[in-house]
Amino acid sequence: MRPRSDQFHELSSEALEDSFLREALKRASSSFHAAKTDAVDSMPDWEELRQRGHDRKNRAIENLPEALEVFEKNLRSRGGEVHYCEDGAAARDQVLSIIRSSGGRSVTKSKSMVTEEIALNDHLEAAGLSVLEGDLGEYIIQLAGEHPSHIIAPAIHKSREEVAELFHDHLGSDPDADIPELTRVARETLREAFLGADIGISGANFVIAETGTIVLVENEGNIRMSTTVPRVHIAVVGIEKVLPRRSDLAALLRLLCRSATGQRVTSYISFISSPRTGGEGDGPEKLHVVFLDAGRSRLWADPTQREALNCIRCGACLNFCPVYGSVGGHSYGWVYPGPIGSVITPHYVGIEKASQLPQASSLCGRCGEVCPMKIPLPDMLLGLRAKAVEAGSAGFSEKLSMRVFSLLARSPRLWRLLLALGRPFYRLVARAGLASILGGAARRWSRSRSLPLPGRSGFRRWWREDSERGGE
Amino acid sequence: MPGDYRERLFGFLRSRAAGQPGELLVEDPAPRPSTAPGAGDDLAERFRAELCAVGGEAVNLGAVEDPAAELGNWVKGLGLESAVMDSDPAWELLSLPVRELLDSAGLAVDSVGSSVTPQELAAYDLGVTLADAAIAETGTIVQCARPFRPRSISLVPRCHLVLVPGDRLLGGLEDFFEGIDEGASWAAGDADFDSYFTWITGPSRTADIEKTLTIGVHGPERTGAFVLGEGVSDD
Repeated sequence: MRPRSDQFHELSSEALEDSFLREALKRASSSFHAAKTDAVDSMPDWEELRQRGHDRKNRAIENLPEALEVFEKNLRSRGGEVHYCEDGAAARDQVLSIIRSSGGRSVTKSKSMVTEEIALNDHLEAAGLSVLEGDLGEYIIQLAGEHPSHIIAPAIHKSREEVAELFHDHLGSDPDADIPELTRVARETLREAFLGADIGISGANFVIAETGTIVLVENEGNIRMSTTVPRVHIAVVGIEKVLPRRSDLAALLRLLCRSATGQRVTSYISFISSPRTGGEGDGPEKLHVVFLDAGRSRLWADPTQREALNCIRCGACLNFCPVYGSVGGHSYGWVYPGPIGSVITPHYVGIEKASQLPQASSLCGRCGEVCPMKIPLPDMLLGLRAKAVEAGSAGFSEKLSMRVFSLLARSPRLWRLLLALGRPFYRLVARAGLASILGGAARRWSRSRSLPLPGRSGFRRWWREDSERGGE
Repeated sequence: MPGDYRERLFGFLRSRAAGQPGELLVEDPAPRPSTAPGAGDDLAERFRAELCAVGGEAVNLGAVEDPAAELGNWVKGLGLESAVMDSDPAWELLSLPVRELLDSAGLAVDSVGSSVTPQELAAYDLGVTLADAAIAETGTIVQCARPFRPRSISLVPRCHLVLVPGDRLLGGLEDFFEGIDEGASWAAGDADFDSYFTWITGPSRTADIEKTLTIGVHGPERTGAFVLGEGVSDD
């Protein structure tokens, strides 16, 4: 997928004017919030679990070359094959060459952010293959010719009416179909595709070094279909997905499922360490793991940012982010939205192409609090902002305003004077709705918000008087 | 050349490795969270409650007066026409006559070996299997690679009936992972957890349209798990 992260301002401005999107995001975030909060509240050992998850994942990341090697050795010993690809183009070619050499023609795919990242579908379709997304949300997005807007709920921005219309146009179903009916139509269409497919492509939630296992977490059953029925299973996996031991999954699966959907575990979790075994009649005859670097080793080499590789893609930081909740996933211009997207995208596509993303945060800190892996997202966002400034991203007006601010903030007298002068002016502007007379960032800010009316007296005066009253 | 990148990647990672990270595969037993059931808990009841909470159906046959009638009635209630059983030798060890119960519930029942295809299995209404393990903490059924059981028998038929031998019911996730690492009695013999296994927790579900929960997408829409009072291991 071609990154458009340098257009965050334009994309988010459009998104803010889309009232359906804002409703959908509100509905989704409140349902995600409730589910995660319940799931965490019902787990008194949550903090210990986070620490355990962080420690075990970190152990693999700190030992990354060894972890990959051990995984590779174990998977190969059971007949799986492992490939390493430097970038998206290499990974696309690798997948295509595996498909070609197996004589495959029809592909079913399970939801995978990494295959979105490398735009695999377009490449395979251009090569004349039929590719069908098996996850309901991804299938909707595929029919609509769009991209996912959420890590775990890709079609969150689509209404039931839009889906009904889409299915009516493509599949001839009832244009007024309700959600159960739409699900049934998708099941029937995709069932036929699954049973006829000769190649199944998946991502991986984890790979286990100790046992050479690919772990896939889902609710629908489409991943089981894609990894059971076709002759060949290809898993495209970022090199950071590795965990040391199989027993680490007890903690990691609890953290992932509870943080993502609030479930104790999802409906299906597959643990695949081998092609079909001697006695078995189904399951893939060939199993390939295609490891993708595409910027991950560069990120790994930066000790201040390395922990971003601990991300398990649960989506919690999106669901709790006030910025994501207002502008939605497409505004981020690439595959990974929300706070984690703002951290990793600049590394993967280049800071110069994504310098706006670290600014897309109020630094409220919720992402860091809800992250099950304890990734210090707010600190990382600040670090990236500093990097962007070093790289010369700040314009003249930003530099000037920061200078002026720094001057004022260091002089209490000047600060008080300016506040006293500014308050009547600001009240006038806010009351008359004259925000448009403000220039630059203030204008952009005020276009989609109403300015709050400041109090008649300032905070300092209130504080003084309140203290005199005894702080009641 | 694709083969080259492996060497370059490992070379780069090794050149940038800093400090002395702890050993990758060091023994590090997972602490059990207080929510995982332990000794003294009623595992069958916990399993039942957890599975029912996620839309599955579960009965502890060890606690009912007439297990055969209980199972027979559930199957009849599905209103299905055909069923397919795997050829697990453990069926013979059960005192509960599962095949006869399916027959007398009016279903056309076939037993299949490993040569059956997923396409053939998709024509059946009900897949019938034994669990290789079950986890009470989450209401989860576990099935591993077995020479007599197709992987898709629990996936492509519209409904899934699974029987859980009492000696394969475990407490928490840690008990499961320790059991397969240490080759517990339920994880021995031709129970091949090192090649493949799958966790099944309730029916197939989605919330991809407007976050509205819908049951039965690609996998079974009904999952019935019956915990047996009896076990199947030799010892």
